[in-house]
Amino acid sequence: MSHDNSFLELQTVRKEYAGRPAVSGFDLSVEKGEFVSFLGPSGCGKTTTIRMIAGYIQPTSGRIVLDGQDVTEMPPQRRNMGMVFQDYALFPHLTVQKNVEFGLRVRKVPAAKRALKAKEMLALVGLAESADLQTSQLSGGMQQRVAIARALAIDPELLLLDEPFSALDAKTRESLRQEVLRIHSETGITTILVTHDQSEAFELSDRVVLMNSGEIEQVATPRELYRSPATQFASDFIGRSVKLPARRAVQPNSEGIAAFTTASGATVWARDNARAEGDSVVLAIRPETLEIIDANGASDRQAQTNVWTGVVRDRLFFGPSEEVNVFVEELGVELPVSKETRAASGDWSNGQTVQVLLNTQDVLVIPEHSETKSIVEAR
Amino acid sequence: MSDLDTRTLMSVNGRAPRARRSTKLSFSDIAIRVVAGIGIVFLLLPTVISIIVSFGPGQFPVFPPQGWTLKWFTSIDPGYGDAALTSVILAAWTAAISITVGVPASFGLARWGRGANVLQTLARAPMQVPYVVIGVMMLQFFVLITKTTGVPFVGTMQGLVIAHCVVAVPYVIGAVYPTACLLNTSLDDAAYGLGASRLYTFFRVVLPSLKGSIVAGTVFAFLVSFDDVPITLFLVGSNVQTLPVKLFADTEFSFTPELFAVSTLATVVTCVLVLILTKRVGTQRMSGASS
Repeated sequence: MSHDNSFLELQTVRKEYAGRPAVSGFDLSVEKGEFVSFLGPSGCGKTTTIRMIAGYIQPTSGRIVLDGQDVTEMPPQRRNMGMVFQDYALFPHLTVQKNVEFGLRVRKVPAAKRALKAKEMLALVGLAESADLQTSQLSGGMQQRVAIARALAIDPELLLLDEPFSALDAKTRESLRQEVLRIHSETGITTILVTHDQSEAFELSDRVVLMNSGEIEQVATPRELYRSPATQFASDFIGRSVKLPARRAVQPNSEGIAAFTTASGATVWARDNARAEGDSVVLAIRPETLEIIDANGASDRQAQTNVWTGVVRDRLFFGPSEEVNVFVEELGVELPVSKETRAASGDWSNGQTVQVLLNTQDVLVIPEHSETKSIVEAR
Repeated sequence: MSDLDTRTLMSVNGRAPRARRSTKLSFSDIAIRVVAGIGIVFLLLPTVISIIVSFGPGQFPVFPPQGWTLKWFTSIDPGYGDAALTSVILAAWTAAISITVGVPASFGLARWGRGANVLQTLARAPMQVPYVVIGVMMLQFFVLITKTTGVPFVGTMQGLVIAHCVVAVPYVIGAVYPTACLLNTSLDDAAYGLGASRLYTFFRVVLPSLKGSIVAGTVFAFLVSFDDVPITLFLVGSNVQTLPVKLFADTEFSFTPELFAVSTLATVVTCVLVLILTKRVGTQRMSGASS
């Protein structure tokens, strides 16, 4: 299972607490320079996993390999990884500069060289002016930037970010995300981010590891994860969707479009090759893929497009976007249709009969009893 | 409106102009200040009176004094100087040993997790035992130890230091343990991740972060020892005499303002000591608040 160009590798890593698995069957290979996020709800094992990578937690079984070397048993002191914590964990008795120098001091780097490196790191995170301040004089966002500078000062093999933005307010969080992106592209350092915030994971990472109750649900690029969730959990956790249990009815045609029959007896067309006839699936529909057209404007559409007639129930206005809830009797559900606010995008009133359009490739087809990708149990 | 009500209102109005400087004081603010003032006076009055009495000329302590003199200060028996020196040395040893034992203990307890609370309560138990009882127990214990080992403890400096540490260590733990509990474990993790060993982390991260409460613990340990009569009383001998015990013994035969002069000096010295420490460390850190 080893990959030629993998830099960090986790092989069937498992962690038990009092016999109960907190993380199990964790297999992952990260390339050098990659930015990977561990995404999942709290208690899914993402923090346990990053702490195992850092060496703070010893796996119950499995191996962690860094740059060809097995580091599973290695204490955190010798792993040379830069960890950034949710609560910054800056040393309160040291100045900003001394905090950044800490790792170099431990390594007995001469004072002049230390200071130079610290200055360089502080400049990288945009805090060159604050070197002599006490950490308590800095805002949360600045403190976290010092923590990043401190982690990078030891030239680590990996940068590990454990929920680094969650203690910050929304504005600071956004600007720090940009900062992390810039630092990643400037240094090219292999980075792992733990987060419960999907937009954070999407914005920053090359690949996202979606976790649930200690296991990997899906490993994919953000786009893949959003556009083709592999499991029901993935489609629930990522974005919003309306779910329709259905059964595959008709073979896909030459374009790969198959028909599904919902519980209410309606037909939904979707692009899908993976299912056999009669297979149970769940169809997920995202609000932003729906479109409202005038009640008689669908005549020029292709036959195998999903067009349903419905009644506008209510409308929610958010500013840049708005949402129109349309009850479609044929499907027996209310579909939230989200659209951008534009003068030309039309206005609908409650009770109006409209048609809702959904392209076949926008229907997400998810196996009903979706299992996490096969797990090789460690024992 | 009754007379009493009117008077209360008037007194509130009478103070209003002074209060206007800051934000306006409400009645409850004033009430709190008055009660606090009474409390402070109640606590400090005996000390102030004994200081004033020490300047009185008469052969017996009288308040208010019938005049002013410094003669009791200039004629202090050199025995008091020796006793004071013994007390300072004893308190310094007690503070040093209590800190050496109490700080790692507090840190260990704080990081122990389950069961630490029970141990912590046990470690502080000597505070709940009457000091007289501890004095008797230590006397018995020392006699027993001396019988079996031949090492003298009663009436020696080492005996007093050990006995004082029994009551001083709980004070150190009381000051350091809560701060150690607040100390974030991610600080240790951060240090380990940056390559620091456990020992390096303890001395370069943990100890500096606990500095304030360690200073507070040292002051407590020093004062508890410097101050103690009930335990020391059982353990002093002809060679070792502490200042409080000598003062206590002397009140029986020579109740002169000289005793008050000695206690005035002791009060001044301890006040100066505490003041210097609070100035250097800051009151906030003294009370054990962390970052």
